[in-house]
Amino acid sequence: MNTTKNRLWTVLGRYGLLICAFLVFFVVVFFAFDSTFQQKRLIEKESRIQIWLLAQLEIEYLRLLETINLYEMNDPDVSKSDVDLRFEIFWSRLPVLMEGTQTAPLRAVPGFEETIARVREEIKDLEPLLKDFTRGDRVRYRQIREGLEGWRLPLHHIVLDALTYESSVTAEERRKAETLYKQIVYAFAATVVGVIVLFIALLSEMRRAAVAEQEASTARTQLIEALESVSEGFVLFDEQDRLVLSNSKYREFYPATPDSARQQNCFEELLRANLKQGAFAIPEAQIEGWFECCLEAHRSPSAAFEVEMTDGRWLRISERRTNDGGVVGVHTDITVLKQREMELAKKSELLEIRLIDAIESSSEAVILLDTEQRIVIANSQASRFLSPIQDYLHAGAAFPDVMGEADRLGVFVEAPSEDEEVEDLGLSRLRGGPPILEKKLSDGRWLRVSRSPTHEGGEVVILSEITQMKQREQLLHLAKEQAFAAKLEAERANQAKSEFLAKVSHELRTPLNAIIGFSEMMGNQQFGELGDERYLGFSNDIHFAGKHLLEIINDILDFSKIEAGQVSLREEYVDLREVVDVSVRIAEKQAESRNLEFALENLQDLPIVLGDETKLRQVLINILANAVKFTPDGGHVTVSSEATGRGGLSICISDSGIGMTPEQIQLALDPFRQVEGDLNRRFEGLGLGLPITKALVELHGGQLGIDSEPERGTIVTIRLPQERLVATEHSARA
Amino acid sequence: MSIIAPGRSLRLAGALLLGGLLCLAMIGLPATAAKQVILQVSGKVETSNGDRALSFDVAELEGIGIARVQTSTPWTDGQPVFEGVLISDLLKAVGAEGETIVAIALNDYRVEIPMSDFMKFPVLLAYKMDGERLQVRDKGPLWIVYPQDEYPELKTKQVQSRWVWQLRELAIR
Repeated sequence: MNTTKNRLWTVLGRYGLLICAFLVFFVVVFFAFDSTFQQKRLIEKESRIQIWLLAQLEIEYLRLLETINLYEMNDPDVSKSDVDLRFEIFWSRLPVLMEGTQTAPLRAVPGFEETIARVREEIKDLEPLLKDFTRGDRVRYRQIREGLEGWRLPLHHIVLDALTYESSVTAEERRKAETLYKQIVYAFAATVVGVIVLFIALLSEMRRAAVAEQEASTARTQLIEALESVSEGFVLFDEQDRLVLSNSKYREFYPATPDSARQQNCFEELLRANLKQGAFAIPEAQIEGWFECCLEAHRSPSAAFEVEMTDGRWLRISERRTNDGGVVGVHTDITVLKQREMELAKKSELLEIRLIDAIESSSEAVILLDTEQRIVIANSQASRFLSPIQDYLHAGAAFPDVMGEADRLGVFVEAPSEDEEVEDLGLSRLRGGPPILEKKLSDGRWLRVSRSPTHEGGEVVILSEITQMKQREQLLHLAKEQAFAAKLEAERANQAKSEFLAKVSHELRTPLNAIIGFSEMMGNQQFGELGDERYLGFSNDIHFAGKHLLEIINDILDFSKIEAGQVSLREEYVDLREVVDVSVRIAEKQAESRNLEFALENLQDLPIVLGDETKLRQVLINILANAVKFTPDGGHVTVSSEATGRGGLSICISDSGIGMTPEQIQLALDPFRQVEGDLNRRFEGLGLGLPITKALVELHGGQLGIDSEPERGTIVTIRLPQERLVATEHSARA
Repeated sequence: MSIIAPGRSLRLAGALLLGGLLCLAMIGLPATAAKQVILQVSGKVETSNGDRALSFDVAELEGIGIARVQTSTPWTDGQPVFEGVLISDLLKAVGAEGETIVAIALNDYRVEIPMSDFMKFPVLLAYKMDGERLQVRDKGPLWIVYPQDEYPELKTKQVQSRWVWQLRELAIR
């Protein structure tokens, strides 16, 4: 109700001028309307007055005439003075018509003035006649009557003329008045319409204003609700620094703040009130200074600041200017944050002490750099290592500058670049991994410098002394070189030996073939009897010995070839089963008279193998020959096969022979050696069998294994890798 | 009728003389001379003899006080000088108490004039124009003259209708 009234006044105030103008216009139109109406009436009235004045002339004329007649006819009621009076009155009517403004329109009637002027002239002639006229004076009576009668028609005519003239003039006037009247009516109607339109416009304006006010009030309510819901204290001052708005949180922080903003307290007042109540934990002596600071901060708000309250709370006060020149303040309770901060500060202090202790106790020099490569901390070990530049190793110094200074003072000796790592820092960093480089100090000590990044983007530089390590390294390096040279020498010698042996063997074979061939021919007595039985025996001995020698020479040749790397495999698909069968048959033949038992186990699925058939056969024959050779009569030899773990194949030849100790196994595998003891004498040979066998197996990418126990027997295992196996016999046939 | 009988006028004049218009007697007007009555005032007036009307001749009117007004009129040319008695003085002299005055002319023309006209303006009851006594033929013997030149607000049709000439009687209501 009240607000409606206020709104009405607002609208009236805003449009007051317009409304006044309309009202004035309305009133003017109304009066114009009224005066036109009046004028219309006046025109008629005036016209009636004029006509009446004229008509009265005729009336008075008739009255005069009648009075004279009555007087002459002796009417007792009519005296001479009555006649005179009528005469006078009639006379008085004449000048009125000729003078003044009142009758001016009448004088415009044609013939009017002439007639009146004539009557005025003639009435003067009548005056003496009438004066002397008495009752019964017929002569004068007739003269008077004649004079008067002479006016009757002219007077009557001018009255009629005036009437006609007047009515036309009046009609014209009336028409004009009516036109004006109409125009005014239209204007009046337009005004009424205008007023109505204005009224409607005002109403709608009022409604709009009401809606706007409603919206503004809703917005304000929402704003207040929103402000109440935040955990920060919120306050708003207007451009005159008066309190406009504050939420309850703010009032909780500052109890001296009034509940409602209507009192319009200014900031300074509020601050002083809160200070007086002791809301801030400010020492008494600093209060004035602090107060000034607060005012200044409020006048030109910039960074937020923190303040401790008496109740132990910490508040962060952040103020900002609004667009309309006010100040918004947000007061955040940061007590928890502050406590945490203090705990953290304590902790980090402790941590720092520990860190320093840790760094100091290190035998290495530690230099910590921040993101801008400035020294954060450097332990005393660093100063000891880099004693010439220890004055530069303080916190805050730029590390590259310190290093530049070190270079200038010649702290480091440029060591000959024997290692790739001893190069520029940047290069080593580019290679990835922690950049490590080794530097030689001018006093001969060596330092390893490692730099690793920290989480915050800085670096840790660790200098450790590696002088001893460096010395050992150099010695080791020297030894390595010597060993390498010796090895090369040995290899060369070995090869020369092998080549020599191969050549010798070859040269030996040629004459040996002649000896074997011819001794055989002699044994066969191809060209006749030898005569003595003993010659036959000799020739047979020569043949046997020659063959044995040939075998030995072949072995040496083979081994030499292998040693010299001159053996290559003639690879083809080999049926391993067939190879085994052939070899076992040969072995059985060798052991004919020895009463040895041969057994074959699990050899049904032997695969096709990619390899050199001759050499594989040689391997098996060699091994079986050894088995036969070292197994006493009545023993047994077993050949078996099984799949190995990696898809390969192993063939085992086991015997119940004399066996070997591990040392003997090692000797057996060395070329030109034989196991010592009885065997040596019982079984002659160069001792090249096992080494050749081993070499041949290895040529196939396989391995030769020997497991043996003295008096129990020996197991020799040939392992072939998966690559050598093409398919099992079974699948190959399928 | 319109002319008052001489006998009655005489009585009236006598009553007036006796009633306090001593001054007229003092200036030595022959009391017996026939009184030329030009105005009667009737209605609510103080009369000493109980009559309902008072009569005046020119001399008596002059005795109340002479006033002059120079003004144009709607019925004459120029600005004639009128001489007569202020109606307000006259009304005071006769002790008139009323709201309106009805002015009646010789031809019985009647107009009601509010008393306030005479209080506000020096309205003249003229008997002379340009020094000449007003005859009946000159709209005499008395003519109500409004000082319309001095007070232009009087130049209205309504006021014009109150310029009664050939005035015979003022009836006070």
